Amino acid sequence: MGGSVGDAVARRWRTAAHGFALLAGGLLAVFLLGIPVQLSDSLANLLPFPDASLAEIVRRGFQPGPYLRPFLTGLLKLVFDLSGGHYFAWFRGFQAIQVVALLVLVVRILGPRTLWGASLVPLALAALLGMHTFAGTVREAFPINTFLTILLCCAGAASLSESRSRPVVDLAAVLLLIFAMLTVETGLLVWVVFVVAWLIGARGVSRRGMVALTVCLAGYFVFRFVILGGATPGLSERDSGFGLSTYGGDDLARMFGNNPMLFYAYNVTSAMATVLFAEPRGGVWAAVRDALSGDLRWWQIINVLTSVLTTSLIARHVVSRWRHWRQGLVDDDDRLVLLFLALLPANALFAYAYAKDVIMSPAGLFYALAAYAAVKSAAESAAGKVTLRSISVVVCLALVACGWSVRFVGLHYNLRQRAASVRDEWAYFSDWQREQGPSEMLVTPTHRRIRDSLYEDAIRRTPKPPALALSWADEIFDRSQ
Amino acid sequence: MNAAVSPRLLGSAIPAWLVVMLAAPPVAAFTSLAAYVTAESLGFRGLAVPAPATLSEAAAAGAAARVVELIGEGHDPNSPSLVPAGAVDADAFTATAVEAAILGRRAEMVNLLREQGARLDPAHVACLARASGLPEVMELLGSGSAGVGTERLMRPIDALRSCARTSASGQP
Repeated sequence: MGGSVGDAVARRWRTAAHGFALLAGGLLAVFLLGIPVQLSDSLANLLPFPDASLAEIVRRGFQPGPYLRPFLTGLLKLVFDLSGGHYFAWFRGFQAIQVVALLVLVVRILGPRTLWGASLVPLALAALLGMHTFAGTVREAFPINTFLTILLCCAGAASLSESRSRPVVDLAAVLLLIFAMLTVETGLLVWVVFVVAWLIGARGVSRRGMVALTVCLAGYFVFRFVILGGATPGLSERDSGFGLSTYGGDDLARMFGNNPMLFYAYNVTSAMATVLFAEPRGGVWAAVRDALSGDLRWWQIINVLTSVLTTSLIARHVVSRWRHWRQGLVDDDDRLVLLFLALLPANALFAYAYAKDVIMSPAGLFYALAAYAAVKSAAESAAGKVTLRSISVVVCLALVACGWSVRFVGLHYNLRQRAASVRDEWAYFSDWQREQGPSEMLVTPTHRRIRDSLYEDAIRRTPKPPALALSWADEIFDRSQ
Repeated sequence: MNAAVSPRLLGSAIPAWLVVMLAAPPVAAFTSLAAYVTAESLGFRGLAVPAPATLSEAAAAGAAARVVELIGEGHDPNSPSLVPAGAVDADAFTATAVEAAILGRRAEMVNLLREQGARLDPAHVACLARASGLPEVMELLGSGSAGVGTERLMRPIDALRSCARTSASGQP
């Protein structure tokens, strides 16, 4: 990366970049700690915990069905038990720590060793946090956000791959993969990260370690589909976007019942496109639809323009380095781009059943890393030249830097508005409970205590950052994420 | 334009302006947010939506959590309080929380207020719901919503006065 500089200088800039990551993570944590634990998709997840041990909760996760996620509930139960009734502090605190750890890991993967490299770290972090695929990892929590956990696992895998090869790294890699696979299906991407990193020369995990990882992966599939006889999600399970609209599960079953492959192919393609171009969103080409109806908003233009320009810089990097790659010459920046190129289609396969932007958050993470490398090489190619091409590259770089910065601020604006809506959601608890229909929810005093504690947290106890009154902000910041 | 930071320092022969151009926007975005959060923790509320001061104002604005919070602090859900100018009507007026919720077209709030101890006078509420074109409230009362929303809507403050007269004269 860059030129040769002394170790002390390299350490200084790496430390500075880590410092920025800590501050940016801390800032995001402040916004997260203003949001109470949400009611929907959250309270019901906590209610089984008082009556069962951690082992029992994990064991229940190994049941036949469309999902195999024992460590998802296991992690929830662990934090629940540790919280001692202080749910807000522990669950939100856990999410805040995850965000800070993620940003620090990202800087470790980027590994800046010069002022030039370090100066691009804020842009890489802005791209990561400003991606619409990332928003879903912090905007919601159930009350732990599974996608954020997997992002952390993927970043951990990339970081381990860059380490010095030691037996302990192999062991950590295997444990990380097992944890990720048994947390949620996208955890299988951790294996993809290890394999791709190994193939492009990052040999933190030894050959023996790679064999062990692959055995674990094979074991997962045998266990899930042969021993448990698990099924895959059906067409009618969820709403999903198609073309210019969102359709209910029954509509989708009617539309694609005879030929679901067409729908699955659309979802996979859409999932890749949403990372590359910020469209479609949830499978819906919303910017196209709004442009056709004359309702296109500034935030949509900012999102699409920033993503298209960033993607074009990544494409420029691929084209300019292609010859070197064919000769086996892969440098640190190339690795970031190659990891992204491999992760994008692999991640998209997990979105085959229904389109949801947050599913693509691992690809979004590696997109930000690739953007770092692409911006760096584009700037280096344009520096010192005054040609039409170099001027256009510089203009593109300026737009990219400004666009991601707006999207970065937009995420925080969104979190602030989200805090008020979660509070209101709790105020309407009775309406929510009625909508759930007859159930055994809140039948025991322990259940009611959990509910009361979360309710009091949301309405009275937790910090109440005010919503912001900025009419222009709704125009330039993406509130749809 | 051609001033370059020492390659030894940068690790690459990149002009300083290019470094600044790429680093400044995200750093400025981060700094602005950090400055705002710091100022807010010191009491600055320049960009914030002011929290509704009265129960009726909160009900009219649909600020459900604030409604529950104010009632928890001892505000009586049946006492009229001020709805400031611009919240629902161009003029300020005094109304109960239920009246304010209907005039602010917050049907879901009516049920929340009832759960929190607000009394509902069916005739008065129906009159306001009709004048505001809010059929959901009629359904909440168990009355039919036929015809609601088809008539010309009244200005909120006029609807309040008109329904107050109707209730006083005992007309439905």
